[in-house]
Amino acid sequence: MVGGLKRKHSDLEEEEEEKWGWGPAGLRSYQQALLRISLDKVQHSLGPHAHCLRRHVLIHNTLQQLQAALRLAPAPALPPEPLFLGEEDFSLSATIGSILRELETSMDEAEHPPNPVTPPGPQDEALPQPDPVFLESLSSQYLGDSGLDDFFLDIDTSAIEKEPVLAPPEPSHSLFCAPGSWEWNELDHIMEIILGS
Amino acid sequence: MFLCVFFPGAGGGNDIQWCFSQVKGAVDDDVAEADIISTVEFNHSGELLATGDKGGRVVIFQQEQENKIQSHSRGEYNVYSTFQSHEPEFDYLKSLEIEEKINKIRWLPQKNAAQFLLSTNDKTIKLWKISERDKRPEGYNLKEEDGRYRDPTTVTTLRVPVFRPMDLMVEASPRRIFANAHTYHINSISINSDYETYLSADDLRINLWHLEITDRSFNIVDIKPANMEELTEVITAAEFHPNSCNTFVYSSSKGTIRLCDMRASALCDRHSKLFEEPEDPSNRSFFSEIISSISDVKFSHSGRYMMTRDYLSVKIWDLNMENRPVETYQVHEYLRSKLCSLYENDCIFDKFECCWNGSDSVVMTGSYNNFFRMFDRNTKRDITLEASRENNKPRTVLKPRKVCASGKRKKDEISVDSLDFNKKILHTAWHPKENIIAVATTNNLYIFQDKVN
Repeated sequence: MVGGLKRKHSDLEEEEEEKWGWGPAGLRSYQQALLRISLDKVQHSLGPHAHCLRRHVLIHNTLQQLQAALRLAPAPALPPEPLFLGEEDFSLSATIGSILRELETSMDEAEHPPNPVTPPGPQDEALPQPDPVFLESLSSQYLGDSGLDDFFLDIDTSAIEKEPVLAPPEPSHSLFCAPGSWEWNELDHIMEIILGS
Repeated sequence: MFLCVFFPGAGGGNDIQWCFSQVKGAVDDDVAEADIISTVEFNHSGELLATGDKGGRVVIFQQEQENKIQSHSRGEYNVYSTFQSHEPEFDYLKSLEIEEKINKIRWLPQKNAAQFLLSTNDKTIKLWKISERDKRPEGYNLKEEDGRYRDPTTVTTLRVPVFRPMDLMVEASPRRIFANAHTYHINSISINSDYETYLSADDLRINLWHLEITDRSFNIVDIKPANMEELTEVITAAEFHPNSCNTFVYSSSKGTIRLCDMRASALCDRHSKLFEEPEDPSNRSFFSEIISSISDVKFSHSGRYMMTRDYLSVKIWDLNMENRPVETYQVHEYLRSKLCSLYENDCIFDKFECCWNGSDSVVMTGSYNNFFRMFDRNTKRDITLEASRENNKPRTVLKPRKVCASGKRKKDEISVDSLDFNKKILHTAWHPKENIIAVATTNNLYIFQDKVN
């Protein structure tokens, strides 16, 4: 499976570079997908995982890295959409901060008033809500992107034959998603999740 | 004493031939949550093997005394005592349930006929005394055998009560309860070599206790920041040095280990040594930090080395060298390309433990698909074995397993995509003196021994 995809993708890469390009745009979508998975985890982890501080901290640190990377990454060559990430008014750090504050009040000594841990509900200042603009923009930017739709239609999995997987090319950026690499397959998987939701 | 037999054709196995010995636990695939094994520990002689589970129970197995004449195998382990160590609690102030799951068990060295162990859940540590009763007094003057008191006026002669044998009864009783000292969740307990004190570690703090004193403990490490929003690192494991009663280590979620000397100051916030390996830039990814998080740290029996387990590897550190480990063993490097999926399904947060054999020559740790791995430090050979009921004929040598990372899968190999990530071996233990190992799958305990004769 991997071999077939690799061949097809490298063909696609030349064709699609203007429309999609697995350069900065691909990396950006990968990062944003990771961001979404991470935020999902944070939102859902006020249940059975509520007491796992280590997990919270690790996810939080990953979110920070993603945010930093998305700020640094060049703007993709796509129709201009509001850059919801990295903008000052999108309070990702505030969201993360409020998550940890929520944890502190729920776990720490009772110097704070009791603050019951409940699943995400309405308008509680202590409960983190990712910016709705962010989530909507994430889905609208990529679900509506015709380049992306065409890309998936073009993958011909029937022509796949088994091939030994070649080592991925040395990335210029350590997080670059090279065609045929494991990240490629992971990105594929992530895009399926996003499209499926 | 054990037989060292060269295993022909193993191509990567070590010199010991491991055989299935026993399996404990329910057979059916439907696992009751309370039966999930959460800790496994041999006592100092290896005669007793304790397990803790998610339901707060402790089960202790005792090794049969070997029949010296026909030593086909070492004695079997049979249930010796079962008791409910911890119950679920509810913290009304914070509206949080406190799980009864036993996180760790540590045995005290035996001082008299009774055995003592410490067991802990997220919040409370308990000292349990396990004692045998195999005789009882009979022949009281003022009491009947059933316990009713006799009318003293009916007593015409006096006799001396005597002890008579009875069926062996093993009793477990809680002798100390060490509570209310941890705001966060306890991940480790470790008994000091002075056998009088022990430490307990949670995500942000480490406390020192005296075994006799329950109403107070000393805080010796505190990494909680003033502002919780600045929290980026937690304590993941801690252990006392086996010989130096003033020395302990603790590991962190950022892959560092700090060695502290309690003589330096009361609050050991400044480490004496910091062990950290610089990151390999070619392997850098968004998951680098998560996979560097140390899930277990164990000193060697000699006290000269310590071993750490992170998500993909086991590292051996010389206490005299802080800047890198002296040995690194890859447990399941083929998972490196799957980190995104493992992050999504939370497997990347699994905390695997590791252990040394009695002579510190071999180390062992668990993996997925009910596989576990052993690394021989001297021969540099490693082996992958599986804990499965399919191999359960006693004295049948276990067949080594191999995972095919990529390319054409050979016969008998398993491809990475076929691995069952729900079958994880997080807890393993090695008998302190012999080649007997205890390996816990989700709800079963497997005991393997090396082949004798």
